[in-house]
Amino acid sequence: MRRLAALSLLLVLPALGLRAASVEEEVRAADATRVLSTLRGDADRLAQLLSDGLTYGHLDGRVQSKPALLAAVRSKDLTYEAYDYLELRITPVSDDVAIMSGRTHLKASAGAVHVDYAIRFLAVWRRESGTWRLFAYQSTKLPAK
Amino acid sequence: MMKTLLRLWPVLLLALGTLQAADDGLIAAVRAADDARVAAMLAGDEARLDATLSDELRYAHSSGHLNDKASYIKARLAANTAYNRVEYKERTFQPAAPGVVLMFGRVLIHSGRAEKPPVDLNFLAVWREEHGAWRLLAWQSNTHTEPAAPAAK
Repeated sequence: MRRLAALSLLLVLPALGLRAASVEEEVRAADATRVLSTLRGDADRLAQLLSDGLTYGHLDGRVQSKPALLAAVRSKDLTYEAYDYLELRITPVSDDVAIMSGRTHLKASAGAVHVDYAIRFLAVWRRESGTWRLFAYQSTKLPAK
Repeated sequence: MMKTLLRLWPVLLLALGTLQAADDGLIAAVRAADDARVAAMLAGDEARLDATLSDELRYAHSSGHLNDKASYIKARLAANTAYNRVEYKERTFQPAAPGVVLMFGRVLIHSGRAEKPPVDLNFLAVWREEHGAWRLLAWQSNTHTEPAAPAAK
């Protein structure tokens, strides 16, 4: 019965001009919220988009867990002024995992250090209990042009 | 309720043990695939290297340069960029979903030339099981520097 209902939905949605969001669209939306939360320093909203198993590799070699990253955002040790994608590519890897890669122009302050440059990054998103969450991240600084 | 829990306890322990064993087996398989990738790279063995890489590979270097599978193999087999030794300082495997395992850590890459110090990298890699074989799907590295003060990504 449930299968029949799902099948009916699949048939009806296109007729109504509607369709289920693709993995790419879902991850893109989750990431847009992540970036916005980061720019606003909204650690509570950001927390909902980070996996408890997060591994976050910074440019300086530090690898942070979810609590450490959120603490830095919450304490304003880490603040972002700009996070503008120059290139963004989202590739589903399995039903519940997608990799996101590309380039970003970043303006941020971490303590007394201010950065203003482009980075290349690799991120892994995972669907956990129906919600896409950032699971791993690593970036590198791009040479100035 | 308590009696039921006590009765189920051995079953739960057995299930947890089985899950742990499955994870251990998974990690051993991906570790073996990565060891094979490194060995093929050091040996300049194109066929073996090819077998460890996904056709969809995106390999991003610490310089920001990006390779696909073909250009990565070509670069790795070129004599002027050959590696002499790969030394993992840390290599952690984390299953992300069925058929997907992350690998991250820190690696020293030696060129074998005395005048050139080893490249010290932090890295994140994604391995995917494709047709029964584990293949490297994505790699991103960054030059490791000892952190002095908190810094942004």
